[in-house]
Amino acid sequence: MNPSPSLLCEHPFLKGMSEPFIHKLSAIATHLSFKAQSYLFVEGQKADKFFLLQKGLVALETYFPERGILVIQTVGIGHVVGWSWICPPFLWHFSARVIDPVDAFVFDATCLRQMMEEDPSFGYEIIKRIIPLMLERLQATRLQFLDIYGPPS
Amino acid sequence: MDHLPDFPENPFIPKPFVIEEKKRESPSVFSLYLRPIDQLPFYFLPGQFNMLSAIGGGEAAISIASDPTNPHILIHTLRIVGNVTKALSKLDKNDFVLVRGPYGRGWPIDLVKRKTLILVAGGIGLPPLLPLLYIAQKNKGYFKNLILLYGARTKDDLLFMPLLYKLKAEQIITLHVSVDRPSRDWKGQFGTVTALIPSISFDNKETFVFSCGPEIMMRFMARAFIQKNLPKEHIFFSMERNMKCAIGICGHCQLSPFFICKDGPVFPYEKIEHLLTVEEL
Amino acid sequence: MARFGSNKFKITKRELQSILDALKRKGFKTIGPTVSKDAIVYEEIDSLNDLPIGIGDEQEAGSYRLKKRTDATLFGFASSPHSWKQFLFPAQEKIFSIHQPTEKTSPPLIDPSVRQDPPLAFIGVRSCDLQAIAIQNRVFLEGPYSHAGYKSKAKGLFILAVNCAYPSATCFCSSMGTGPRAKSGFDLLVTEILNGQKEPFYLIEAGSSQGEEIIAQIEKTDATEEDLKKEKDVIQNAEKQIHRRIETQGIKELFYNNLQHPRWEEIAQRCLSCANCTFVCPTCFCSTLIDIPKKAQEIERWMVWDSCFTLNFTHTPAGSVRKSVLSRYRQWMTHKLASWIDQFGISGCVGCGRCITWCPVGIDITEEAEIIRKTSPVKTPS
Repeated sequence: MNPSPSLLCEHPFLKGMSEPFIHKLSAIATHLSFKAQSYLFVEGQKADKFFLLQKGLVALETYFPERGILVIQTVGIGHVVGWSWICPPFLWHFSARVIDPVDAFVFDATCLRQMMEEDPSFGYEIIKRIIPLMLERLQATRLQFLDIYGPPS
Repeated sequence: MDHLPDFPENPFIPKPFVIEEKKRESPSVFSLYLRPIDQLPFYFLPGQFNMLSAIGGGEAAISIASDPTNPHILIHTLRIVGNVTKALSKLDKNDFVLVRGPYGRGWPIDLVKRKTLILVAGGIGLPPLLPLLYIAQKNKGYFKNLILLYGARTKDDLLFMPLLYKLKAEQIITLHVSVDRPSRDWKGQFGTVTALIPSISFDNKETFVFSCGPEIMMRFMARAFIQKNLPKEHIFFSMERNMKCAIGICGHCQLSPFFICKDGPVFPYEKIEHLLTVEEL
Repeated sequence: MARFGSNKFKITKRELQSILDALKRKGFKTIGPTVSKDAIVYEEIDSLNDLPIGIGDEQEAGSYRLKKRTDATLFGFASSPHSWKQFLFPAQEKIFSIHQPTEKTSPPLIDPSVRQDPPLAFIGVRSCDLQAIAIQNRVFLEGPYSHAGYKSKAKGLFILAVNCAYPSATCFCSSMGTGPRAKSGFDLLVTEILNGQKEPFYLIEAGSSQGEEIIAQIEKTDATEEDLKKEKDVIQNAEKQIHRRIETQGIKELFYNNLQHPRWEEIAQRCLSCANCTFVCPTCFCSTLIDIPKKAQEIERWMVWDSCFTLNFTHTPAGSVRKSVLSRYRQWMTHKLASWIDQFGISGCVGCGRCITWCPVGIDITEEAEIIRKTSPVKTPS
């Protein structure tokens, strides 16, 4: 079932977005729940969905033959999960496994991309909201890379 | 909290305390529960520190991790990092420790009364924040909300988790924990503690942040809060430098105009922000 | 204060000696300049004969030589490698000893080392050094905590100051507003005045009631107009000999704005990080505490001079904060000329020139301050 526009616009990601845009999004959205240990998506598969987390915690992970499955980052409430649908080759770079049960708005990313192409002002609105999150995650990754709590040299 | 310590005639003379209990917190971290042999209550303000030494083992500045409402037991949590802490780590129950203090300016607790307080702790930065948790536990309603964002390198480096889970269960704190290095047995959040900030919401005017951890973590943490429109003057750091005298006369702990020991260790972020990015200041 | 200094008297060298005798009778340990190992140092003196009679000095960046003068001055020299701080803030001082009884359950016994030393009388303190003592008084006594050892020595201190007549080439007190004329902070102040082929005579004034008491006991005549003119000439001549200077206008902002100035790297290439400048500086106050095992079950804690030029100075569990020589030199100079003002409301430099003379490679704080000012990318309002 499509989530109502009023429910959608409460999500931090969509806060303040104009009504027509929210309606557009509502048309391609579903409201889904995921159990712990289930996957939102799997590495290498077609990236055709866009997730806005309402509840729960998701781990982005990859398989490292000698070390098993490794978690790279966790993503929680209010965040987006999955942006591989934005650019070619439209394949997931990592897998997204549910840690704490998730409620999410799930959008048909192929449709979304097409709508963004057709209406650049809508497209810009979405991109403008994704970029700060990308930056945030890039900064977090850089900080993690610094090993700030590392043992004293 | 009304019992502020006096300034002794000779501030370099320590008092012997006896170790009532020694507790291992992690492979390299332990706590000492100390009782003054003169039986006098030991009053301090959250965020202050003491100079601690094993007899003949040299002194080190260690923040006070105990309950400020119980002046009869003094708790210090230490990481074994050098000669002084190593000497202290070799002591056992009933041994004596030399203590002088308390020193420094602690957390501005009057400022945050009935407000939302977010504590951001990284690694061994948690102990100086513990007195605030005890205040919240003993004096329900002191804070409107108390949120703890706690990050460490790995799951095994997380300290005081039973206490934190207990406080969470009693709804005294909201707890967000994150580890920087993944391990299979960790089911919580991954990423540096700063990554927890974007997902919490708060009322900018009524919220304050107290942070203790690696300087670089505090710097990035402050920026993340400012990005969420928290006023800069609502953010406080507890700073670490080499301290020898603890009273601002030995020169070691200077950060440009400040003596960390007497002007800090707690500083408003606003006051020191410009000094934190100058290399080797 | 106004009642002091208005009366100046003329006295002979013999009367100056009787002042020394009076101080000793009162129980003071008298400390003054004397020659030792080709330098003028401060040590306990018994009589004026211990002073460097007819000895002067020649100083330049990185060099110091005594020279014979053609007169019989007692105070014919400038700053020495010693400063008075070594008596109030000794290079090594026991803080306490601690005894651990053999019975492990008995608590350790702490014996605070409060020594009742005789009070000190400094003979021949120059204006720059008076200011240095005033600065260290602020550091050690104006708390909130005070340094008990320093306090016990500073409390009973008697100062006989001397107006500086022979500044060296490395002096720059006039630009720091600290000399050569002594203005306050003394019990007695003398000006040594040459008297042709005859022995110099001295003009003396009191700066405290204790000083007045002493003057009351000695043979003296009122200073004449002519004497006062000679005194003025001495000071004016001294001022004329001072060529180095530091521009202090906006100096705090100048240094705060130039923490990343490329000049620091150039200084660092010359600086040996030897810490000489900090040890000869009369205001440098850094120290550390060390535990020394004495005998079985006994430990002593000592306070010893330390220096911001050492690598260990900023040691933290994660390593030293100031690893490079650049950062250590910058800390010293910026502290002295800028952050000291924020910390103690006063500059940490008195212009005595010791750091210039005793730097083995001749780094000159006045020259460096000038270069940073002239090449500062940020203009400091003047």
